[in-house]
Amino acid sequence: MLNEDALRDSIRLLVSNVIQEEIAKSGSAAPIGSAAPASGAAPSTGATPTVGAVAEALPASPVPAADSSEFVPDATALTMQETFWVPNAHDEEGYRKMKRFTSGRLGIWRAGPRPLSRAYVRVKADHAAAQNAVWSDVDERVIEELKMVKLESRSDDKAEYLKNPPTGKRLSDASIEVVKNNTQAGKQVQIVFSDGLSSSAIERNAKDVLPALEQGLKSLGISYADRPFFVKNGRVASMEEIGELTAVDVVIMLTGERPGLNSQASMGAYLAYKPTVGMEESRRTVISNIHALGTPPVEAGAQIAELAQSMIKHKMSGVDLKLV
Amino acid sequence: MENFTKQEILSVGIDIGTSTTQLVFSRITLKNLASAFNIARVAIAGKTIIYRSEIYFTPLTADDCIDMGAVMRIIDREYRHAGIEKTDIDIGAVIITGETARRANASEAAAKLSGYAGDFVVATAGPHLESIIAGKGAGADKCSKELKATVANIDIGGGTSNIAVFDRGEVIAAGCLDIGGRQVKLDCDGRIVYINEKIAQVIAAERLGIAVGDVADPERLRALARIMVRQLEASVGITERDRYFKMMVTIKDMPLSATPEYVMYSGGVADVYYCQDADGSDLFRYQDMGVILAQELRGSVLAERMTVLKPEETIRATVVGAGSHTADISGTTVAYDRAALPLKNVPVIKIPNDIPPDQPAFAAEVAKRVGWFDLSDVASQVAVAFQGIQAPGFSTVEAIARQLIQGLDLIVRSDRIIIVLVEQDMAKALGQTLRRLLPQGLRVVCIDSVEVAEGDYIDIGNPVAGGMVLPVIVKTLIFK
Repeated sequence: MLNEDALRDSIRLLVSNVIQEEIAKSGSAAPIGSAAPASGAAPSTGATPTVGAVAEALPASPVPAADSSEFVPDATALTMQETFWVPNAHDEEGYRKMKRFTSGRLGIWRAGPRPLSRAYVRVKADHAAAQNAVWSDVDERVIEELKMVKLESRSDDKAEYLKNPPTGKRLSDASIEVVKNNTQAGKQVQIVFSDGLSSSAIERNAKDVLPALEQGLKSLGISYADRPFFVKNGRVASMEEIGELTAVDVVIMLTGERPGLNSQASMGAYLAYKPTVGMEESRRTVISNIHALGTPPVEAGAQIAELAQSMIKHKMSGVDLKLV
Repeated sequence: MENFTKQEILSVGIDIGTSTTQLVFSRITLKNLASAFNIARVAIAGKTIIYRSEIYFTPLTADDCIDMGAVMRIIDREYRHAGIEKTDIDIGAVIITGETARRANASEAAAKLSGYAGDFVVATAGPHLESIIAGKGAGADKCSKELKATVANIDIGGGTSNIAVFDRGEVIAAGCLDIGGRQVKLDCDGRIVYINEKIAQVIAAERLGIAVGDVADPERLRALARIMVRQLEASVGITERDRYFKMMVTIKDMPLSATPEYVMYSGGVADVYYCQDADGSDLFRYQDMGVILAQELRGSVLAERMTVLKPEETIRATVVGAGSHTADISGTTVAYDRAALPLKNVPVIKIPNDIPPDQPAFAAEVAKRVGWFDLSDVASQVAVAFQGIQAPGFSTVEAIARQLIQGLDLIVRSDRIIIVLVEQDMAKALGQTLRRLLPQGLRVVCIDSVEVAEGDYIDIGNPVAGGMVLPVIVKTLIFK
């Protein structure tokens, strides 16, 4: 029938068009690839990047040249804010300006529907650093250098600490004795560190937060115990038992925050006025995000001292203090 | 103080210009933008103009000084009309602009008005600051940010034209020319009663035949206006500079690397420029050459070759800028002694960024620059500004504090206030360290997130937002 023939003809035409387009594409793709060095001198002038432009951008990936070095370059050397992989961006400066406000993975381009290899490697590297922060122990030298008194929670190891959270909230029997033996009577503040979920956070930030905090307390005329405690495998709530044992007004707990792909060494400060075992979370005041790219550790230390002063003045902490 | 969420502060802007005097009140909203679990981060979240005064002719005495008695009556009346008490004002700026700034009793005016403008004022702003203030009041900074382009604002007033160029929201150039609608003034019979000195020279050189006592001739004034417009064209680089340009520059030339992409006008002449009936019959309704100047501007190369934008404000641009765009706030973690505030008109020395602040070279540089100031007057003060270090270690903070104290030895020994301005977020720790290392009783004001340049002056007001931040006015003279 006529209709059937017409239909068949148009299908034929469609198929032949598609085939011709494909042939044309593969025919032009090959010359672009081979001519890449020459066209490199004259980059695409159009607003949309051409196939050739993407191909040119790819060789810039961080795969080391065979002769450059025996080490693979550090995939995390640049911050995400500094990372920009969009080839021939219409307004790179404008994009980078916006990127200053976020550490999100923006402007990392793509290879077809997938991430670029270097973007993928970066995610893997960040993830590895995050896992490492959780599973490692705080370097003994940091604990010694800052003259911390070592304590342990009831968790036997990291695995138990992670799988059985209540064990991280209480001190071991031996540590309870250590606290008793190291309590200085009549002090207003006890500073405590714990590894929490990021040992890296303590390693990187403690040495800057502690002196700034102590200087701040001193300038405000607040007395504090000479030596801070360090609780291994300790959760935030381990501050409660320490508060009861030392009978100070304010316990300042500085702990490693759960790491993410953007921050593996972020520290949180939890302060409570006369904490008691099993108390409500609402009695704690928190300052989070203390790290080099968040609140600078020295500024946090200076600020925490004033927060402690405010708690001593009002005799309260947490939500109650917010309502003052 | 940790609980700060929001505060509204009342700001006043008073502009005493060559031709008009105006006043606006605006409400500036401060908000804590940080989440509940972070250290507060206070920022200016909004600015709303709540009252605009009438526009008055600036009252002058017979010998061309500001008639302060009459000005005070205007301002008193406007405060009453707005229902605002002097004590309600938190911050403010009084600006004596244009030719008026050069008049004899400007400082008297500033002194009389300071009680009306909260804790601190900008008096006799200087032509470059005026240009920036007018540009911001007109909204040129916002436009350039939105368009991602360079936008020039030309504020054409009675005595001067203030030019400011913004690139993506930042000022890149500012200048001022002695060109305005009231360079030639008439009486009610259309007779010329005043010609500005510089303009008289142009008239003589061009033999335009315009003289005091004549009945104003529109065509002759049009020829003069064309010359004036040509100077404006030259100022943004769209035409060549002629022999009058140098003479017309108020203080210093404005360096400009490229012609801006857009232009907008504010000031009284702009009011006529954007007004549809600008061609209305009465050319001399303001008893000056303003209408003719606006008409010539419409037919100029500027209109032909550049895209002309519409400003948010025309005749009120400067006063709006003064009322809501001069004040900024410091970072949220700062250290200060309450007794040291407020501080007014403190000159700034800026240590170049390539000198590391924790090294001895820094102390030497600070000492050298402090030495440039005459400290024989016990009331004189100096602020030290530097870039600082992002997330410094505590030992670095201590090293910086030591370098500062050593460099500021003259200030320390004369028992002056230690004023430190740092760009990076480190002022609270640095301020506390300074206090610990300095002799007891010395007052310290150490604030961050403030960007200043060598030669700027700074005002630091009384604390706001529950004591967390300090209001700051930077009087920039960068394009000297």
